[in-house]
Amino acid sequence: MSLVENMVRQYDGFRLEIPRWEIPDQGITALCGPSGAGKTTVFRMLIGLEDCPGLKWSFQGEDLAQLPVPERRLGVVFQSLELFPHMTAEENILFAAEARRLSQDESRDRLQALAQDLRMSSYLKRKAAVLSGGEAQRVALARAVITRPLFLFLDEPFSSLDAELRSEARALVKRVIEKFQFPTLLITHDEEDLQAMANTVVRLKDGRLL
Amino acid sequence: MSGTKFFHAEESSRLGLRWALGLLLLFPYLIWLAEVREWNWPPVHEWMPYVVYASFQALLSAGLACVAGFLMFQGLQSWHRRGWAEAALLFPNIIPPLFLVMALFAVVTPWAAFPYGLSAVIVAHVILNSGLVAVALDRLLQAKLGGMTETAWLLGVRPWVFWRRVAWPQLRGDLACIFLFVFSLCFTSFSIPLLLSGERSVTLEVAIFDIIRTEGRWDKAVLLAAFQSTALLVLAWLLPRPFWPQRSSRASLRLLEQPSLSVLVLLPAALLVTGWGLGVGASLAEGIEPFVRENLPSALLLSAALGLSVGVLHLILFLAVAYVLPHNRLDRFLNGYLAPSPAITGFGLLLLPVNGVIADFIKLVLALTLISFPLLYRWIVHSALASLQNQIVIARSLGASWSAILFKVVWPQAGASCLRACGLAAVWACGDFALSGLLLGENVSVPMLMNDLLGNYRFEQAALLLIPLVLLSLAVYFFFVRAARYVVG
Repeated sequence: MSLVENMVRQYDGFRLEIPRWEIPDQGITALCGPSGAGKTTVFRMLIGLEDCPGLKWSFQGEDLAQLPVPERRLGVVFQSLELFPHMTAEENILFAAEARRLSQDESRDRLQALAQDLRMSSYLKRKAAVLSGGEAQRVALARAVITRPLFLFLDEPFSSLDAELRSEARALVKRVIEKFQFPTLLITHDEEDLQAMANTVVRLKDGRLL
Repeated sequence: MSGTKFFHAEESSRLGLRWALGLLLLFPYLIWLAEVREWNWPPVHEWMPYVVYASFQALLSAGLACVAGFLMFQGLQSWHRRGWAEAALLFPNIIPPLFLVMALFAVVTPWAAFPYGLSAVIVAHVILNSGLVAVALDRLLQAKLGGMTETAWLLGVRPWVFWRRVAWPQLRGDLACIFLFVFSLCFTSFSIPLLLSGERSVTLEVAIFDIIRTEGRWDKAVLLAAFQSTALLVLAWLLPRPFWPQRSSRASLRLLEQPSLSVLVLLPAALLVTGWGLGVGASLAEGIEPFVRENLPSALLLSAALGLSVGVLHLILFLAVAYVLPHNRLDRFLNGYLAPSPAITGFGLLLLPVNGVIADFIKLVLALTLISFPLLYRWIVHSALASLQNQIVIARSLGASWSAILFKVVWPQAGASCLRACGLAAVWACGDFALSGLLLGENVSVPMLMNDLLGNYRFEQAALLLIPLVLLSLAVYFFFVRAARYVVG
């Protein structure tokens, strides 16, 4: 288990308050709720993009909230994916490996494995700017997991895909997560995501966990 | 009037207004074309030194402003109170240049003789523009690479790797655009070099001013101005992308922060405030001279009238533009049009055969408006109007008249931006001394009094006038930002 404590944030008349939250350290935990419930704020505070002064996040004997953002070793797939458009798919993924100073051999091995798992081989050399939605989504996932993060965050990862691609993408993502056993927090408002992927479901409403 | 007739009348009035706007903005050029009879292109050796020297000055000024702005941008990322930090960075840009010059005098003269010339102009330009570069960089990164910066931070990418591998390949065009924008500001700067450059003209604007004043060569001045406008147009066409994107949702750029540089954010504003404090402190000890005491009330009145009139004329023009847009050709014209040089505008209006106190005042209001309107439109108003284009199309398809669209759709949303721009125009007009000197001749406004006192080495007395001028500038700015909103609706 990882334990989140004292997550409090107040803005524009809205108060988010999660005094204590146990997140399983295996499988996929889904945080769901309607628009405006505070999901994105929870997500951004946990990964460190927004300040939350009293926050504690105990995981494997460390308080991740006290670590600088790069040292938390989190893998994140944003809703907007945020691929570097001037780089190829392969360069995007290897860029993450390089940032974590993985050796070239190891990076190449991991890239090949991921390319197989996520069926990316045919477009690895293509610029990110010209990838389709489904392809870009897999590249973003591969970039997030190539460094074997401590925790994986997925923020509405399937929302930009059409219905057909979505079910295929869910299956692929779930397979990769199960293979590498990353503890994962999935942020979503889509009930189908919950049914297809979540091991644990946590509901957020008006800034509070139900 | 029947519905169809009303719509026809509206379309005709919009067409007429578009032409009137275009002609009004081109007015100074048209006067010159009509009034100057003989055109002789001066030999290269007469004008090339001005161009080379002005380019050298602008290159150095813009280069150093960009370096300083880049450092300030990194410091800015450590600030939690972003609004205040950005206001401090942009502060030197929104005050009249005379205020900056006064502060520099106050800081330097107690220790050494003021170093008139190229170096003084460059230092003033760097103080003036470095904050603008920092804020422009911040907006650019937020708008184009906000999410990517967050991603890179989470991935553990180091800042210099991000700059080299992610930011530079994607933003080099925009960065060049920022540099060229600052270059064009320094290249065409007028008031600062007029006060600080000493014997040698460091910009074409000052050269034009001197050529007309000392040589009486109007044709040579116009040709230099035409050269300058052409050069700037070429720059604008080379890099037509807008460098000042609207602020989108705030992404975290903490990857790029440099806490040790955060103090730099306050440096230009602190320098100005310290300078004014020193100047006013010294002048209070000395007391007000009778000459200043006698002339101050009428000068204040004229400066206030000038600021308010220029602000109101801007308001009328912004309303007219909001009424006639969207219109592709006019929009392109307004975005590409460069204001004529202050010297060309001022001397051009002097050529008009209408004189007298009221006429001269109106000419001055018009001249100040023609110079600041294009910049303020591009800088503040254009993005506010452009964001409403879809709403205008929808309102039109619902059958709304253009006047209803203006007052019920456009003004409620873009009015605040327009009034802010009017407030800035009013502040700049209150602080003008160069065009006022040209068109009114005598020391009739507060900045003209200050300029006269500076010319006579009575710095303390000039500094004393900063107090009423700052108060007046604040009053006219807030008049437009707050009070005028109720008047216009």
